[in-house]
Amino acid sequence: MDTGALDRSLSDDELAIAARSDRRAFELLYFRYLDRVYRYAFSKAADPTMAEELTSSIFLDALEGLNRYKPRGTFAAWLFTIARCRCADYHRNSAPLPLIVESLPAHERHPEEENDHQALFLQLEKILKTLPKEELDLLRLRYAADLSHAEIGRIIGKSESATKMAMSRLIRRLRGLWEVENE
Amino acid sequence: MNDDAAMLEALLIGYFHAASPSDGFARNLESRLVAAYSESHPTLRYPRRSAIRLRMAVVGILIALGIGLAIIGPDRVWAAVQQFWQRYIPGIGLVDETNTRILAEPVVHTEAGVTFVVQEFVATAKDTSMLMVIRGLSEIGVFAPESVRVLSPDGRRIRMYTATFGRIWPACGSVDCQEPDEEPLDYRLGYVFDPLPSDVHSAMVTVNLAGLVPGAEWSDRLELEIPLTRLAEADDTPFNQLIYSPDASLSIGDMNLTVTNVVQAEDRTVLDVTWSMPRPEAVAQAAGVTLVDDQGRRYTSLPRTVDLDENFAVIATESLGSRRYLINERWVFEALAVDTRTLTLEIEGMRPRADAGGSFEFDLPAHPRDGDLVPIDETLNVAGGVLRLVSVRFVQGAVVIAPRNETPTSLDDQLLIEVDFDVVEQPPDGMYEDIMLEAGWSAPSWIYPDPVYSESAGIRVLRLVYDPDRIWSEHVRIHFGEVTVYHEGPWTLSWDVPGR
Repeated sequence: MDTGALDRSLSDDELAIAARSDRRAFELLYFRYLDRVYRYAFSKAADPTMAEELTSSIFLDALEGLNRYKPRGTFAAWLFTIARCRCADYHRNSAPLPLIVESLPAHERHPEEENDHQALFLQLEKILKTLPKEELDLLRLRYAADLSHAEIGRIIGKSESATKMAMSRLIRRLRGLWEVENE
Repeated sequence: MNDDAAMLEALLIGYFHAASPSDGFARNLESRLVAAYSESHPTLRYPRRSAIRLRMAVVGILIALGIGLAIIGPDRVWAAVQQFWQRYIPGIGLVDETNTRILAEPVVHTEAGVTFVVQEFVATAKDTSMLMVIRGLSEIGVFAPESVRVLSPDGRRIRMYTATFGRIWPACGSVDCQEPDEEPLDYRLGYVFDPLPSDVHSAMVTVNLAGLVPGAEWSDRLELEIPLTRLAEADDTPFNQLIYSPDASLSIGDMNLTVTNVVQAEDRTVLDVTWSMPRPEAVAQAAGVTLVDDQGRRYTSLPRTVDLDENFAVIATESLGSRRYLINERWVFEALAVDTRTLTLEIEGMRPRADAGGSFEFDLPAHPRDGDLVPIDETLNVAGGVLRLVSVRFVQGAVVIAPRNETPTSLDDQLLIEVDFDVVEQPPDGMYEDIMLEAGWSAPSWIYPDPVYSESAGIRVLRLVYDPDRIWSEHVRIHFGEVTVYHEGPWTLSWDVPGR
């Protein structure tokens, strides 16, 4: 990757503005967000090939729409709004929650820990499948995309405090379901 | 318990972080993005050379004019200059007649009582612009600008730059005509796309019909063939017109309006204006825009387009450390009298939006039912004025459910939460008009309850859906979102019309 003399400490907004005329700035943004976008897409598709296709579409859409981005410190929210729309089109035609654990490619698994982790993940997945899709999406945005409450709020159209409250109640409820599951 | 929560969060992180992109994919996508970037930014590589070329072109034109003036006389040179200006098409700009292709006659198609008209389609070397009118809709539903696409004959999608959207209301010169519930006659959509390839003489316009035509599914698509004729071969060439930049400005509160460009043509007058404001949320549309000439003749703005895609239209600019946001609008009027010497623009009925801020709490009744009332006595400062919260009421009402890309449906008899207000003090120079409320537990963003109009306060307030499955606490909080304040005006600015 040729990112030349670009300052890597530049904010997302500074990079997004620079990226309108400097390809290297867009590449920095790409590598800054690749893992998060891929994880979000994978959590939606639970299929490596489809996750790659969705990730590609998301970044190509972002590149195409870069000139339309308003630099207001919300690049992550903007990017994941694109991701959410892209994945929604795919997700409409797929199962509500495909199994992530079983879909992981071989290189993602750790044989020595696999039994323990996989059992816990499968147990968690069983609970997640009972959640409404809006709540599941909150979890994806928080834990797969690593977004802050403020960023999630921007995406779902709620205030930061309202998002925080919704998330905290969701975690509380999940904890209750987890306890019931382990009784 | 806290350990349990931490364990659960760690498990969630582990679960959702289990996958990562392979190095091969990362490199492959990087190459695709680099190629796509180079394709979409071909002209940005040589800015200096372009500037030099531009300067050389200007110097060349001046020299040619000087020589022409000396050799063939001022009258003939002036005729050549006029011919040059005649290549300006309002809304499109100067065009190269040699390779400009236009739609000779509108393309009309009717589907389930809804008529789609491609009114104008102009392909230049610079871009491709299209004006579409949709008739017969009771409301535009979930229409998104991206629902309309332009394809070249080989099926390649032409990239969209801007989408503008406007409603055509029954003709009326007064602000009172635009009641929120009044049905518009037509919807008008203006688009600018990338240029079509120079050797292409037709295009395909596709429209996703979901949300536009009753009963249409998301996959239902209308396809319209657009035959194009070279402008040089078309019969109706541009007409004699006057074009100038008055750069007249006006301040309304912390917003600033500049008239950047005026085109006075035989059949219409076009004003390009730019709003500048400190917050993009403050986007305001004037309810009434009128041009008045020096004889007192009044020209009301024809239906105007407002840019929907705010990410494109709102341009952040930095000046001396203060950030402003710019929004471009185009206003079209009837043709002015040729003897007009001075013009005055009158603007009335501004509705800037602002973040209201603030929130309040109340205790939920055990089993809320229609008619339940929870008294509240709190005052809040909102947008410079003061509101007193009187009560929270539970009422039965209708909601519209409109998930993205799906046809909206309506549900009656839903339990809604309604907040009653009194206005203690109106904002300076304005009046509250509507207030958006939100809550962390409220329904998904694609469920819209009807707003309710409070007679006592004169405010339209959004209601919230009560959904017991989403409310996990008896102690609930409602947040204030955006507030709209109505300022009547009028505000005026004048400029001299240059001689023809």
